[in-house]
Amino acid sequence: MVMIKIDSNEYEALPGETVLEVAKRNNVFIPTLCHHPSVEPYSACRLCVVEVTQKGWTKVTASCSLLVKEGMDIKTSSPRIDRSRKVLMELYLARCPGSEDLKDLASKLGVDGSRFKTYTESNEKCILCGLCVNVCEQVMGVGAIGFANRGANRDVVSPFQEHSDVCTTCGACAFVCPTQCIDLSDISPRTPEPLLSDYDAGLAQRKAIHIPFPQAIPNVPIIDKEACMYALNGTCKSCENFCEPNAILYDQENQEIQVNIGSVILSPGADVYEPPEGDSLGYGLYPNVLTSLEFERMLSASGPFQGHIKKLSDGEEPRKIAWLQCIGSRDESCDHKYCSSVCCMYSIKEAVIAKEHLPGLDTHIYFMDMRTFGKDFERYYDRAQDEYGVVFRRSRVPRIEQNRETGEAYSKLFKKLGGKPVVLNPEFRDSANHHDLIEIVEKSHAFFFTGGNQLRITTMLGGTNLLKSIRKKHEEGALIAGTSAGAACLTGTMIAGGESENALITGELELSHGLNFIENAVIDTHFTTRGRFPRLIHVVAENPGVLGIGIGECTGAIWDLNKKKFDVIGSRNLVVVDGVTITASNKADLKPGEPLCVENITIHILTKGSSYDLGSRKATLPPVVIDKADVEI
Amino acid sequence: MIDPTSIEDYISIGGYKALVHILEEQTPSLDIIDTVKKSGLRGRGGAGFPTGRKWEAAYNSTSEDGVKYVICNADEGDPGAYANRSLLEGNPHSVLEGMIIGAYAVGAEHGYIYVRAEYPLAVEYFEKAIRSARELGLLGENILSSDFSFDVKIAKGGGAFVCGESTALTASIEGRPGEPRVKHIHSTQSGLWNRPTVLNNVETWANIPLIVNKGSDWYSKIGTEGSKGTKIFSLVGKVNNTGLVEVPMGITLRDVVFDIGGGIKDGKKFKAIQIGGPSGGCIPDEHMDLPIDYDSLTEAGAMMGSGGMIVMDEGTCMVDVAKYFVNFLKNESCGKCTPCREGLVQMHGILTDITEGRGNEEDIKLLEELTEVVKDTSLCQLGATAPNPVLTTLRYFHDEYDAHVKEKKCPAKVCKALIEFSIDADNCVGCQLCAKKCPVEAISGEAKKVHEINQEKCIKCGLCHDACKFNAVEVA
Repeated sequence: MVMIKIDSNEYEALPGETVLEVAKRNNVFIPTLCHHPSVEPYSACRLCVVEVTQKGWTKVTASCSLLVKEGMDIKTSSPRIDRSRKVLMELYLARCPGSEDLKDLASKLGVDGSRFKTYTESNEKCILCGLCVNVCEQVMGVGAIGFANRGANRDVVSPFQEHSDVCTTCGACAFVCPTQCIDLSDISPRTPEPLLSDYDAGLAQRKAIHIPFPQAIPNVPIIDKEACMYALNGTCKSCENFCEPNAILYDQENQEIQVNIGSVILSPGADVYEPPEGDSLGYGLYPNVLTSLEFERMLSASGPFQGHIKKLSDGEEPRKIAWLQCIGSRDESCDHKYCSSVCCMYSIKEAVIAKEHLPGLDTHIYFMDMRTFGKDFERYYDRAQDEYGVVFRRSRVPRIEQNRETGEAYSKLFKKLGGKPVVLNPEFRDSANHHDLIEIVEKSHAFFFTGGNQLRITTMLGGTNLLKSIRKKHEEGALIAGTSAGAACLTGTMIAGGESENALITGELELSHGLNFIENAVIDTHFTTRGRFPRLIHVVAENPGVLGIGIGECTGAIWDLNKKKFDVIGSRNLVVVDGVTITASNKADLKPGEPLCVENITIHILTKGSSYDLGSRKATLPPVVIDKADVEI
Repeated sequence: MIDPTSIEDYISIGGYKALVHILEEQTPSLDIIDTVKKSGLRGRGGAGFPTGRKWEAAYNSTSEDGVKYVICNADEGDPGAYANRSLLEGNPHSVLEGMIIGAYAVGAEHGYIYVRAEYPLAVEYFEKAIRSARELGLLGENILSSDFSFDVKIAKGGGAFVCGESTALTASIEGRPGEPRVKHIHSTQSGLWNRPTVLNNVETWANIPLIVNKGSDWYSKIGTEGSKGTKIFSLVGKVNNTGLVEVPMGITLRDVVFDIGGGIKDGKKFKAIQIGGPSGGCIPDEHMDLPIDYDSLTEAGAMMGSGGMIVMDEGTCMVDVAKYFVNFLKNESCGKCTPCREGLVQMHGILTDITEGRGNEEDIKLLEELTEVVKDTSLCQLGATAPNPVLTTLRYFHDEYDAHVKEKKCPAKVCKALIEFSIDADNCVGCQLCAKKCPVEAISGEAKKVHEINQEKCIKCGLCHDACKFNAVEVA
């Protein structure tokens, strides 16, 4: 036993211990950045410096590697130490000005900002503390990353900055990094598979050593031997450095215990229906489609989100939640022809609690029959409707689709350009007749049709009041625009499908009717990247009076319907296919499967600055600027 | 003059007499260690640790398998220093004999010499020395038929200044990157491959045969109370006689510079002398009567170092000198610990700002605070002594710093951003010589008419100033 003094208090220490270990054990605060109980002291961050006086000599040294000696007098705070920590922290802040973790540490140490200039990249987060390198080598026994270069150019890399052959993708480096600056994909070609918590329905991660859930009996951690590095490779054992009572038994095996009892209660529990992934209900496909058990964990105050309901797609709070009942029950296709008997009630419970967590939340329950058979269950269902405003819809939902994403993405873009976009996304045809949407249309000056499926646009909008009002606004001067499917649907003739490879063979092309904002034309998009020449030629051959326009990526046309012309903008090509000059074609006599032939079809290939006159069907190329140097007289 | 490649030449001047004497008499190790202690020899590598005490500590350390090492530090990284090199190229056997005696004293059978790879001739001559010594039975198994076996390997340097630091050096020999470690456990207890190790500088080893031959009394008569013996200095800079000088400790700096050195070149005025390489400091005229001694130099803020002495005259800007050394150390820092790695970058940044006219008084205060922290918290001596050039120049030449930040002027007329070349109309005869020499055609002027320098174009190279025979180019 050795006695040392820290800040005028005496402490017992074992020979071989470091001053930092003694301080930590006695709750004396010494800041560290590069220290970890599982690795040898590296002493590089220098934040743990203390003043040590021995035999009349005082010096400043790192406490993480200072071995205790009888009679040592340590000061964890003094003008020299305090000044050192302040300046060191300022050096760190100057090196990594964007790191929130460093800013937090700085405020803990009472350091406000840095007087030093930043000479590193502004997104630098690595403080070269060596924890990742040391953990990988000493704890995991791998050594996949190391230091390269000297001085200010020092860097943590895998050999030759290529993907490491030996990295086990355990993620220990990323875990210990104090500034969270490690991207495993830089080191390992494999994607790490997070260990998901069963209890939290896969919504949260757990460690190899973990307590399965807060109410577990006994309430002690267990080691998942299929994930534990010690069980798999004989390395790590980092956890034992944190367990003060040394209670971890790595080699414990399952035991069979004989117990003498009087009676047995058999509680078989229940099997959960696993919905198929990627089917029409979208589970596994769309992040915002959850099972009720996943939602229970989300609602739970002790769950992965502490009761905060968040869309898994973007982390934002949802405004609407729909419950689809009888998935996996009363269903012949999955062999559960019987009713589960519990889902109606728990869905009502979930809807009510969700409304309590998120006031203003819109909740809809889509059910076949309401199974409220128990005591006061009916009263609960009534309360849910009357008091909480939960909407019940009797129906069987056949499919779920996610299409809000495009709208939100474009919304962000237009906002950046200074506009005030409103996303109109009618889900049902009767919504397209709703006066709310029409009110929005009447206040708008421009309408932008997004990409996706042009048939959806036409089937949804065709013949609705919404479309009528948009047309009216257009006649009054509002702008109509579209991209991809949203451009293709604007014409009278509309290409609905049929891929290009076989388009010159009759029967492959699907034509339909568009919204007819532009008459006598057909627009095809992604023209050059998807090689859609053949199908446009086909369309024009069918009715050469219809002008074919093929728009390439990053290219567009600004159409002046009054002047009957358009101008080309953008960086690639716009192709015009004009069939008026066709002298002969076999289109009328073709049978399905037979190839087309056409004589004398006119094609214009236009770029930015070109224009096209629809009346005269003449193209005008952009004016050519003559460089004086090229002209020789 | 001896032929360094000839062991016979070395023997003819008394070489290996000490070793033979020790082996014949079977002198006990502790006696040898005692002799070295009494001689007062201190490490010539820079730190000046008493050699005898170091050997004693290694002697008293036990090694599990009994293996101990002796190492010769021949990394000599200080820019401009070549004393070690000259010893290895001029008299390698003196170093080798010292190592053999040292190995005998501490109980080591293996030795290394860590020579920087930039000294190929030193490597070649030392290799030759090893071979010749082996041939004569002075090295290897059962030296001179005694029970003592010892052999030496040559390890070439890792290519960095920091590899001269003892723990970085041992790491480099072990094949690891040359990075220092904390030294709570000394190398004499656990060093190279965790065995007790004695690491001494080339010059230290070379002193050993002398001490054994002539005795500790003879040796301790030379020098001062705290620093015994002689020291080799490489005297360079603005002094008339440059080269290597071996002087007894205690001689004054003034004697070295003005007597042996022959005074300042071109009749200029002495300004300062930089001692101890990048880790040392600049001493002004007022301290030139200091005796050269480990302790008095440390008190003055400098360091004995490995023996570099750079003489500076009035044409040297002390802020520029500080910047030069900080830049050197910034590039040589291993980068492991934050105060050295980041602190030197910041120190260099501030000094650059000052020399380029962007500095202010706050910068000097920040520099002072930063240097103290770097000194206190660096992991190894590279970082801990790196602030010395800044600290000594601030201490003795604060007025120069003030001129740079307050008046934005460089009194020594060195810092390009703060000086201006102009033509003195009184002296200019219009010979057009300066205009011809100017690399950027910044000087205009007709023959026999006063010339003019275009300040926008001028790159302050000073060629016009050097070319003018009429003293018509002024620097302000």
